Amino acid sequence: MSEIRFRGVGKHYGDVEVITGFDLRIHDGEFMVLVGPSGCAKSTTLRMIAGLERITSGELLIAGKRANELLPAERNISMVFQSYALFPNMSVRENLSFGLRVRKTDSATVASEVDRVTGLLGLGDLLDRKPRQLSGGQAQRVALGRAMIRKPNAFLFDEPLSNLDAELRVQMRGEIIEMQRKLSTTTVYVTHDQVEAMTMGDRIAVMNKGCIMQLGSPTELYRRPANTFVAGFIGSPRMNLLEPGDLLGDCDPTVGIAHDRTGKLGIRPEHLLVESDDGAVPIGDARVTRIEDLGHEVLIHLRNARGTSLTARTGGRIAETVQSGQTVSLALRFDCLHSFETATGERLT
Amino acid sequence: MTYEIKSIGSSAFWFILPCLFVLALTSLYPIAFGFAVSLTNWNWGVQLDFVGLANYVGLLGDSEFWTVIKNTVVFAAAATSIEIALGFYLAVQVDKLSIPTDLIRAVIMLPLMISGIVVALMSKVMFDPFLGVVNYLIGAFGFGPSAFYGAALTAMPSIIAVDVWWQTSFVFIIMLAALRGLPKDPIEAALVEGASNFTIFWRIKLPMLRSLLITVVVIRAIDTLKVFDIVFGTTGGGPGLATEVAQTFVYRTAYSYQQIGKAMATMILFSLLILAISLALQGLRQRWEADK
Repeated sequence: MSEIRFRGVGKHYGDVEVITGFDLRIHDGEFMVLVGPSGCAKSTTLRMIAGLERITSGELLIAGKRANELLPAERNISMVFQSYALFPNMSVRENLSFGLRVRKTDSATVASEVDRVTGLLGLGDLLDRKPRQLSGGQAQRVALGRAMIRKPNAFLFDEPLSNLDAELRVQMRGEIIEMQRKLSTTTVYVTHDQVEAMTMGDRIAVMNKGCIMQLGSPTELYRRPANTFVAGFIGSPRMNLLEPGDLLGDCDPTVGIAHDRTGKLGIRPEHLLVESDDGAVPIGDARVTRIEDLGHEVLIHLRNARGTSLTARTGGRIAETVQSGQTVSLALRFDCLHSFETATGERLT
Repeated sequence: MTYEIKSIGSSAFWFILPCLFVLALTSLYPIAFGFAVSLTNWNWGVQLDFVGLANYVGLLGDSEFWTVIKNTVVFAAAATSIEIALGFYLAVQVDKLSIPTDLIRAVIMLPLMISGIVVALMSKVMFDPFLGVVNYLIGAFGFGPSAFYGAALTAMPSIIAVDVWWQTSFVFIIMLAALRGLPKDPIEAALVEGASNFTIFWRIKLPMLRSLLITVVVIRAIDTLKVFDIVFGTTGGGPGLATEVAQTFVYRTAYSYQQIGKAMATMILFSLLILAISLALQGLRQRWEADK
């Protein structure tokens, strides 16, 4: 049982309030992702779990026990840092075994645990190397190994893949997911990368300005964003968020969808149809300003007669027929629309 | 591509040549001149005969010279060790403080801003056997007065104490900056892994600072081996030869006895000693660097 629970947790730096009344329950064995833009206090939240930041108010429970006053060492938590945070003067073997050694584990157990982790992560050939002799991927794997060796209450990851190149990031993403599934250890993963969030987490907490904007599964967040912040943050390219009147008057569907005319309209780029009348509601013409051909799909950037910028995502074939500067007809499906209250940004339908 | 790099390399050589020439002139010429003079019996006047290695042979067979070398090394070893230990300890303690430390740093750094001869004068007054505040304080604790600079036994510890008071802040300020500049992540990782503050210091922080620490040792060692103002301003090398160090010995030989050739020979030998110690310390540093 290693549930992590925040109860009305607050964090202040002097007069600056970073987190207020934060409530979150991370279930035993769950992979929870905290995602949000820079400065949204996701790393601070993680560091509070680790005991590296003092909690100003409220209560943090780890494995059912109040952890506010516990030292980092007393929480039995493992953490992987963005910079890997390997000990530069120690070999890979010493880095891996550090946590066990400071806990006075006997040498035979240390050796067998190092063998187990190196086998699991394929670090066998690197044991005598120093961190400076490792590539980014190898260093990250050692950091993972150091976290895994102790069987902790929870794994904490603070943007661990940010320093890796795109290919290695995908590979390490897979390895972390696999490791977490295998060990079933409660995991809290902080990232600003929504692809990581969507592909890794059982649940995602989207954070902004120290608050959780929405908590749910990746699918829930994508299909039913609770507010304009989540709608704009989850999904790439971001959802088209339109004010009433941004589309051509007669066709403006916000009239029919929103409770009143103050509603904002959200259209995912893949639901904005270009040159298609396949049962969709026409919303006028727009000029193609730019085309991004990604091969398997095409992103079309448009501007309509009202000056509204829109992005559409379509299959790769359309790149052959549509060109920059061309005027195209737009349409959308009602059942894929999202509407939000203008004043609060909260979801209406 | 290789051709281009080679071409740039040879152009670079011609660009730095004038600079190398000036450096050679200003660095090598005085050394060469000093060495040339050390082979003569020049008396700062008209007497200028080539005597070969006679000055060197004379010095190496002179017990006074070896006493001077011993005094210099004892002073340097003691002052450097205490300054490094004390300065580093202060830096570690100040680094732990969570309050603003600007004032503390300023106070600790004050002695460093005073010139050596002023430090010597101040300490001379404070350590005066009859008028000095130090003897007064010792007396207040029930101890008898000490002659400090006036006795062979206490003169050397006294000048070491003054140098420690004067220069510890140099070590302090460098090591404090280094401690504050250490990457936080490995330290936090060690905390999460369950390490105590003591373990973090010995196994994480100290190894990361080792290279800088040895550099500070080299700087302090060279500086203390070249001590002059503190000794000249307090004991003048006395009583007897109790605190005579290389610089004061050379000064006396050159200006009191007008034996410029012998003084130069002393400086050449002494410079070789400093060079050997520096190379040994640098070698140690390089070995640690390679081990890192």
